[in-house]
Amino acid sequence: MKGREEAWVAAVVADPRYHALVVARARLGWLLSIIIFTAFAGYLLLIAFDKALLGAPIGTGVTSIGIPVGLGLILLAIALTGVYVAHANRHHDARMAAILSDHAPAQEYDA
Amino acid sequence: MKGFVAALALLFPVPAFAAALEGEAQRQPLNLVAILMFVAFVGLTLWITKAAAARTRTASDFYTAGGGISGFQNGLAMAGDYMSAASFLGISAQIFNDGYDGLIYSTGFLVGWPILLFLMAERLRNLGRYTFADVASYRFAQPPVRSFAAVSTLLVVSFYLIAQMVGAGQLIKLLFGLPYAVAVVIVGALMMLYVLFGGMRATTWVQIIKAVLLLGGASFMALMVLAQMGFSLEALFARAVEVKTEAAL
Repeated sequence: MKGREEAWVAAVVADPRYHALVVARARLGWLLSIIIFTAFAGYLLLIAFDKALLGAPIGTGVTSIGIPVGLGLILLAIALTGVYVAHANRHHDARMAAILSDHAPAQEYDA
Repeated sequence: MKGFVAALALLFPVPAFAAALEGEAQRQPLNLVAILMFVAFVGLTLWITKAAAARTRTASDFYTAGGGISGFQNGLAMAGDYMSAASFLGISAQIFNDGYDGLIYSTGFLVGWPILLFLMAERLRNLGRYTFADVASYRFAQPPVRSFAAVSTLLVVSFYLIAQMVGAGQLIKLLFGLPYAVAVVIVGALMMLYVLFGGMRATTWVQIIKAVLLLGGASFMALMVLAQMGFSLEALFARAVEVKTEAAL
């Protein structure tokens, strides 16, 4: 039983589709992380070095530019989470399931 | 009963610095609606805890609700954790007090979560482990990793718990007009009841109810505040500037 499981793992690891999936998954994760990190770091730098810009009112009103910028950051975090979850559920899980079932041992496997 | 609570309060003498924690919350006149809602909520959640306790048989039931919690339910429960009264009231208070600085603070901890999701979540799921300590001890020597995780968890949680209990204690003091020390002891006893007897299933359901109530209540409040201002954000901010004249930035 143990040997069968090891053979399965070896077959999956040898599959080029598996490596493509790992690379694609890591790329998406790092890309989205860099986007959110850059946005937040930029926001902090803006607060540190140009407070006046964030405090400036929009047009002639009292609402400052900082309000939509801050809200935008919150909405960006929510949107990127949505992008990641949708992509992982739609593509990554399906690709992984396909690879696993292609190499699955012929006999009924009790995971 | 009252004597018992008072005796408990004597067992845990309030340190001198607790005076600072007591804040300026004044005892309010009896607010019957608020008290009834509070008692109803505690009663409902204790009943759920009892029902869940009856169904808890194994360690897996206790820690992970037997794996029977769906993704959506878990999401709501974690949202309930995130939107605790402390963060909801705390952020509102901080924005009231410090203006824009409150918004900066609230973006700070929000932004960390997606990065955890992007880089860690899938790996944890694929390993089939519950916590980061489980993953680390899967790779490294168990005793040091687990001891470190336990110590750091307890350290962080105790600070977090202090803030939560101060907030909840103030709330009970306000609602029932009880002395602060008694209010904190009652809150602590309730917390232990929930977790000790209910385990993960009850905790999750209590969090789900909390998330729905907080989402509904906060959205309703925001809507009604905006309605007062004729659904104009500009009018809302203009009024805020009128009320609070110090510039925040």
